[in-house]
Amino acid sequence: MSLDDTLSPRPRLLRSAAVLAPRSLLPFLVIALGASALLVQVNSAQAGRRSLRYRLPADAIETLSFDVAHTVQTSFDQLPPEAEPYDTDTLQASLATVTTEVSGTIERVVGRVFRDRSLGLVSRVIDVAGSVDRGQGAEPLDASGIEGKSVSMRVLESGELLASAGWQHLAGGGRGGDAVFTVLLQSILRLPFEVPSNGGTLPTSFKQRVPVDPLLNLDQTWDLLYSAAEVPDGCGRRCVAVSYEGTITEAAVDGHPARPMKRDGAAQVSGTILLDSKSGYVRDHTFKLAWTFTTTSLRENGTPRAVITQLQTTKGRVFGGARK
Amino acid sequence: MRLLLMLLLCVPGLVLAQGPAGDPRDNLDHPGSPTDRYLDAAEIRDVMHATNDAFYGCYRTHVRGTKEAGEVAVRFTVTREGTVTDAAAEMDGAPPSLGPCLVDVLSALQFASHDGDPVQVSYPLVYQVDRKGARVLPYPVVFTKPRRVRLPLLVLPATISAGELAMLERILVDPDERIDADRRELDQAPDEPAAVPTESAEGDAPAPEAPAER
Repeated sequence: MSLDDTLSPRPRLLRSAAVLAPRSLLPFLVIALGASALLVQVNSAQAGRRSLRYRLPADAIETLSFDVAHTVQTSFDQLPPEAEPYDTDTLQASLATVTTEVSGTIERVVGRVFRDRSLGLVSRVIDVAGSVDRGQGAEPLDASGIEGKSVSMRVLESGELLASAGWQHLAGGGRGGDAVFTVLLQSILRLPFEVPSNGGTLPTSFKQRVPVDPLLNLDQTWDLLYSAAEVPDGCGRRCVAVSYEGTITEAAVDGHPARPMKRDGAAQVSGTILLDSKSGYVRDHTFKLAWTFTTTSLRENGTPRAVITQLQTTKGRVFGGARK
Repeated sequence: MRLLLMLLLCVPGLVLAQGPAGDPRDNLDHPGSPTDRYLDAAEIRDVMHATNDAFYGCYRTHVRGTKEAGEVAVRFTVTREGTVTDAAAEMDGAPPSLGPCLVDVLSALQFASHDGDPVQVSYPLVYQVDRKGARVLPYPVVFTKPRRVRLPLLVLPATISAGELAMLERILVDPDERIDADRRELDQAPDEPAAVPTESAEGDAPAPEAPAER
């Protein structure tokens, strides 16, 4: 054994291999060992996630029901001189407090399995019914603009959203897609690696990008604390319950030349997820979100033209999981 | 030597970690993907190109020479089931008998079913006679009229009226002024063929009511 070997001992495995292999093969052997070590590490990390996961039914259409209520309070903080000819007082009053209650069903199906084993889901809004109250009594919601629309999502088995498409068919004023937008996003559960035990919490942070259209992305950062939740009566050992609470921040800049705007948002979020412990299918997901949005419309030189603050409180539930 | 070994270790690790990337077929909305549930202009264009022979059949029956062919554009709407409604042919100098034949061809077309709103399509027919013979040339683009996404960063009630929405747009972003500015820029720019169809200025949004003035 040389002095160099004594000072910097190599791993036993590498030393044994070096004895067996000619010196010229040593670099290739090292590469092979390195790659194997990486693969083992990746596989063991994935195995660690398996203690809590939810499964999406393959070769079946899953039906989820939802109830959601959201209240939006809108205030015009800064209006431009261009607003002078218009009756903005009436407009502000009609938007001051709007409560929307919506219920319905969505169907989703795994349309595709990607090469990295992530799943391509198609979630379609099947039927929607509800009402909108703008302070003058509830009016029925016209859901013709959102029924039948779908979004596609690429998700990992943990529920992490990798990519999505189709939001532009739900987004925009006068279409009523806001409530359904939240439901579709909340129908994908991003689960922690495991259920925290002994009253502990598990912090998780992730980023999520929602492409509303090619010129507008909603970039969100979620910081959550997961904890074990009480399993409701009647579900017993067949259920796993996890609660979460935390914050969301959002930044969005609309690059469309006909609507130059930006939005900063911050939210408090909490919820409880109930999964079938055997099948891994979702049974129930209740959630609350309290958003504060500051939306600024911009002039061509980038200076603010108008500023609008919106406080949006959403309380909802996605449940069911019937399959056909 | 150790540096080389470290590099040799890291490079395959990075390759393994990243995997093959950048394949457009991995996009959820790649045309033809099972996760693409909306009709793209490219998919409509492919069907129109495949129908060229049928269009040429109409020209062969009803048109005698290139001069008589005129300029023809067809318009139609693709429903969510993929069928065609409201088919019409705009004839500029072409024999009137050509129109019903083209409409019959259009009405028989079948596109893929989709989840979007009905798609309004406009497509020019280019009839050419030269040494190669007479034919309908495949036009490189179809013109569709996508629905405008209006003020998507504001959470607005589903029952907001067209007038209220138009007023909000004029106060916040003044889209007409911007569209006019874009048009002025286009008018001043040298004539260049548009490479891709652009979103209609008006979209299929409901006609704005006159905003209430003070």
